Amino acid sequence: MEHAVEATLTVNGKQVRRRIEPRMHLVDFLREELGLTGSHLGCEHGVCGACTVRVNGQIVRGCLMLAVQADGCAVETIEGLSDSKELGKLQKAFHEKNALQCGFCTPGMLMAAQDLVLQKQKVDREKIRAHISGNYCRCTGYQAIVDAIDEVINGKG
Amino acid sequence: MAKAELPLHAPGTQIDRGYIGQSVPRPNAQRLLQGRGAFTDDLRFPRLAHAAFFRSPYAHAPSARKRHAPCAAA
Repeated sequence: MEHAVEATLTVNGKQVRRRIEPRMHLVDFLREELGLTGSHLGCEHGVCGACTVRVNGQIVRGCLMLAVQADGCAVETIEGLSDSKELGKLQKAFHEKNALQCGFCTPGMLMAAQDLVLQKQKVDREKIRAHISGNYCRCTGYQAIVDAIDEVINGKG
Repeated sequence: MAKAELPLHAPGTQIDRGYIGQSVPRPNAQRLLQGRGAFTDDLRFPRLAHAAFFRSPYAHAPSARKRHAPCAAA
C-alpha cells in the first residue's frame, strides 16, 4: 500500500527530507506536513493564486505542482519571505494602503507582487494589474492592492 | 479564544467616540500579511476528521429501517 517516495526539498532555507505520497500537491505538503499554513488553498485548480509559492526563484501554483516534483528544489513560502524581510516593503505598503481585508489572498498576492518587484522594471498600473491577474481577491476590488504595488515599484501611490 | 482585535477606545482618547472619522489601526493586519492568520482550514485539532466512513461489516445485508423496493430489471 505504501507508494510514498522519498524526496528532499529545501523549504525556506531548511532542508526537509520526507516520504511523500506522489499524489500530494506541493501546497498540501507545505500546509499539512510542514505546518506552513500561510499558503492558502482557494480553488485547487490553478485559478485563484492563493497558493502561490516560489520554487527555484519562479512563482508557481502550489496546487498544480506535486510535492515530489519539487524534489531537490528550493521552495520559498510567505513565512520564509516574511522572516527574511524580503517582503518588508510590500507588506508595509499593503498595510498602509489597506490592501487587504480578510487576508486570505494576501500571501499569494504578495508572492506575485514580489515577483514583479524583482523584475526591476518601471511598470504602469496596467502592467501591475496584468501581473496579479492570476490572483483573486474577493474583498478589496484590487484598487488598493495596485496602489500598494505601485508605491513599492514606482515610489508613488 | 483570540482577544478582541479592535481597541475599545480610539488611541489617546478617554471617551469612546466610536470609530467615525478615525483611522483605526488594524492589529491583525501584520499577521495576515505574514501568512500567520488562522483561517478555519489552518486549524488542526487532535483526532480531527473531515469525514468518517463507517462501512457495514455485512455484505448485502437488508437495511433495518427500510427495505428497498426491488430494482426494476435493467
